[in-house]
This record gives sequence, C-alpha cells and structure tokens, in this order.
Amino acid sequence: MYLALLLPVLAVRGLPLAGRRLAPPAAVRLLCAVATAVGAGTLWGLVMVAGAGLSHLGEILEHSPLSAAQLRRLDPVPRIAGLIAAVLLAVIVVRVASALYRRGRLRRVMNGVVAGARGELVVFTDPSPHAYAVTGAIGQPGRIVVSDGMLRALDAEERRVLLAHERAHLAHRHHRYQAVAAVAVAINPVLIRLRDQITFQLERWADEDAATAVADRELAARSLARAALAAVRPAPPALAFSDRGVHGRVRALRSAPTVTRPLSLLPTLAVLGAGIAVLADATIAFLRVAGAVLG
Amino acid sequence: MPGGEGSRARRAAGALESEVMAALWAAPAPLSGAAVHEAVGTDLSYKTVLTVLTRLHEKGLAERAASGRGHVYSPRRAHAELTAERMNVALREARDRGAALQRFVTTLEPEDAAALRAMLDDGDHSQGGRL
Repeated sequence: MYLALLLPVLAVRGLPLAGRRLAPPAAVRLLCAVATAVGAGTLWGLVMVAGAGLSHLGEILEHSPLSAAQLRRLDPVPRIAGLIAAVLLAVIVVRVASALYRRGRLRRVMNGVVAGARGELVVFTDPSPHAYAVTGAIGQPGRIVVSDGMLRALDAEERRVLLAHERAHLAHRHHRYQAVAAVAVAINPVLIRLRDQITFQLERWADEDAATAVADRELAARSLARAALAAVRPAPPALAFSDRGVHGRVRALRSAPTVTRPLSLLPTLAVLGAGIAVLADATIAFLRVAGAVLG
Repeated sequence: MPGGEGSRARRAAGALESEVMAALWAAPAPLSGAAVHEAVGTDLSYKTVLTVLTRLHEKGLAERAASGRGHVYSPRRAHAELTAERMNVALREARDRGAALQRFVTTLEPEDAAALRAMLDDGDHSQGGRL
C-alpha cells in the first residue's frame, strides 16, 4: 500500500518523455488525465488510511463485535498513520480551496481589466511586452489583452501570429486544463513538474494553432523569438519564474510537427495501471475491514 | 481551422478588426487607409480594409482625421490608459499570489536569448528542422 506513494513520482518522471512524442493537444489531455488520476488516487488512498487507522478508536471499537486484537490483525494500519492521513486530508482541503479562490480572484480582476471593451483586442499602454488571453465571464466572449509595447516589437505578420496564439488559448478553453493542473498540484505537490509540463504543452498547442493559422511555422517561430527577446530588454522582473520554455517552443516550431505515436504511451499507462492495481487491492482490504467493523 | 490562402479573406470580421487595431497601435503616427492595407496584407482588398476602418471609427475604437484627400487613423487612447491601470493592479495581484497568467512569453535565460537572437539573425538562410 505504501509503495503506491512512489508510483506518482514514477509517472511524473516518465511523462515529459512521453509528452515529447505526442502532438500538443494529445499531450495536454494525457497529462491532465494523469494529473486527475494521481490526484484522485492520492485522495482515496488517504481516505482509506485515515479511515482504517482511526477506526481503532472511539465508539466504533466499543460497539464492534470484534476484539481489539482481532481488529489489529484484520487491519494493519497503525493509528498514527491514520492520524497523519487525516491531517494531510485537512491540509489538502485548505490547499484546494485556496488554489480555487486564487484562480477565481485573478479571473475577476482580469475581467475588470477588459470591462467595457468593444472588440476582441484590448490594448493597454505599457512599453514592456505583455500578451494575455482573458477568458470571458459567462456569456461574454474572451479577450486578448496586449500592451502597445508588444505590438510595436512585432511586424504585421508576427502580430497575426500573436493574435492567433492568444485566440487559440481562448478557442480551446485552455484555462480549464490549467485549473485541473492547479487543483491536482494542490492535492499532491509531487505533480508540480507535471503542471509545468501542462503549461508548456498548452503554449505549444497555441503555437501550433497559430502556425497553422498563418500557414508558416518559421514565421510562428520568429514571432515567438522576437516577442521573447523584446521582453529581455527591460530588466526582467525579479520574481520571474525563469524557464527554458520559449527556446523549447521555438525549437519545436522549427522542427517537423509531432505525430502522435500511441506506443509511446505504454510506459506511462503501465505505471498508472500498477497504481490503480495497488489502490484497488487496498480498497478491497479496506472494504473487508469496514464490513467487519460495522457488521 | 483556416487552411489555405483563400481562407484569409473569409476570416471572422472580429479577427480582422483586431489585426487592423494592432497595426494602428504599432504605428508611431496615424496611418492612412493605404498604409493599413499594406500592413495587414495585400491579399485583402483595399475596400475591405476601409470598411473595417470605418467600422472601428464608428465603434469609437479608432480616431479619424482628415489628411490631404483622405483620412488617417489612429487608436483611441483614453480607454487604454484606464486598462493599463487596471492591468497593473491585476499583474501585481497575480505576482503577489503566485497565480500564473497565461502569457505569450516568459522570461529567458541569457544563453537562450543569445540562441534566439542568432536564429533571428540568420533565420533566412537555415532551414532548421534537423535536431
């Protein structure tokens, strides 16, 4: 059972590899599915440990037809493990709630930014280059928010790529995948690397869409490089989470499009399958114990 | 998905408006209809571009001034400054709370910047694609 804790780590390690052999939309969906599976598995695992560990206590024990010794034999989960699991569950609830609150709050603020806009494109005056896709409130269209500094850094063709890129984020509702990733990380911090992969693949997805829209991958790569370099000139913000994302995206655009090869998924699916098997095994044991205790 | 060249002319009107607005914003001075036409692509008809400019003017997004025998267009800036204020609040909030906004580019490592600069410099010669 405790071995199961290692499986998400394995899955997360193997995934970037699989992600590189998938077209971005497939990669995003796979990564989100894994994040969901690991997140749900983590929750269920903790619920079982907490339930089994704490069932030694209190009224259940007194009214149970079984003796304490019998219970201990049936159920090898020590009380302390149950307590730890319960505390972890409480921590997770707080983390998920705060992640959801942060996302909702940011969305409200961004909707305030585009309030009163009369077109798809919303420009704000700022010499440094910014570009964001802002999902609309319910019933509202999404907006593309760009600084005039960004527009000036690019030529007309490159601006088309930028617009197509942000439009792709909106059209494919990429914020939903991000929300899945954020909640999964709140449940199990091991998934941080997976979330970063999801973010990267979402950008790749929008890049590929933009390249298709302008029918020119090289142009798409150039726009991206130009925009990234424009961002370098003013001192980068101190809190910038620096990543090598842009360079990787440019390289990907300049190489042949990725064709999805289902076989590359096998290792990931094997690890996931093992995880599900362990959880299923534990679940059966758990239900047997629960049945014995309550019955 | 827009596939070929022919589809460009049939793009959604909203997308074309965005492109024209982007061109107006990028220009250092007001643009004539012909200049906008050149910027957003000569595969569109001049008339189409003029129609879009007129619509943008009517919506209050672009300002129009007489110049010679025609008009020149510039973006209406009032809204942009209000937006900038709100945007700064939003960006600060996002940074303080560690929330990630979906953004076109993130920051670059110096060596990555050098590699990209080199690519832009001789981008025309190399074909790339063999990694």
